[in-house]
Amino acid sequence: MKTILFTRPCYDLPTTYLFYYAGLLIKESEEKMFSVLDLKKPRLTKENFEKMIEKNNPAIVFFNAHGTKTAIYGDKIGDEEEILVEENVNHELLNSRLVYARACWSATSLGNKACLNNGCFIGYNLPFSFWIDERWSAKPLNDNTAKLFLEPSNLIVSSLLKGNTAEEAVTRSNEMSKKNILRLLKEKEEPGAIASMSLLWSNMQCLQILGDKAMRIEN
Amino acid sequence: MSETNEKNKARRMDPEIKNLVLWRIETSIPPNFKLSIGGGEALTKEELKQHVEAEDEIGMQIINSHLSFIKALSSGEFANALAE
Repeated sequence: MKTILFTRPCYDLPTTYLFYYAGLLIKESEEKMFSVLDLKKPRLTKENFEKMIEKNNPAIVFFNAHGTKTAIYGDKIGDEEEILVEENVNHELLNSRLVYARACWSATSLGNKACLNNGCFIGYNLPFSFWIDERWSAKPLNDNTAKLFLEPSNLIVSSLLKGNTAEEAVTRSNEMSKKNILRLLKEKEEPGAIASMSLLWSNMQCLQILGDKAMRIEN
Repeated sequence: MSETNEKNKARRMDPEIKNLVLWRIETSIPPNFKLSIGGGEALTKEELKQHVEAEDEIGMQIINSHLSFIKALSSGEFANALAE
């Protein structure tokens, strides 16, 4: 049985949305007979993250977090966001694995080092962005605006769980983003349709696959 | 101020482009929308406009995102991608 590791901070509106959407994939992973490691508060610390990687050797690592060109964050410890993985500090923990970082900028620099030794890193070379409809912020999964962006993103992991390659997973995600754009084009009167199309396009453009695009995880 | 912000300040945005982006934000974004972009909290429409006005790091990301979309529309890249 292969293992998938989720990191799910939840301390502001963006991370709360990612927390809930990643939660949908936890159920799906279990149904696909993956062993799931769900790192969330209070266990989401750099120390636990490193220990879990070393002890459980996850085939897939799925980050949901804020990020920079060189680092991906975990939870807030006190008032400070803690870095989970950082280039030239502990990036080698990600080598040889299939990583999807739903985090801004992570494919710019960190991803290039994380995908060494036949690994693969899927991430963004610009900010991963999405609109939130504030009226639904207490129920992220019912927010049809955020869904336009987070469902195509979730599809990357769903596809990987089905044994598709990294490249196939990204292609499927982009196809779903295109379908969402086409739907918005038909609903031009819908408030925010143009703004959503623009952002879907931006996310498609900055989604990157680094390393072994043909990598797949068969459970 | 970060190094990126310093650089952004050094090369001031063309006022016409900035006004175009501000107009697009004003006319295309409903008041109930918030944007998750980069680190930190989601931004309201008014906060987006403030970042663009200030031409700070987030403001430049917003401007570049709008320009990229406009270019894709005008070059046919957007339509071609949807037709694939």
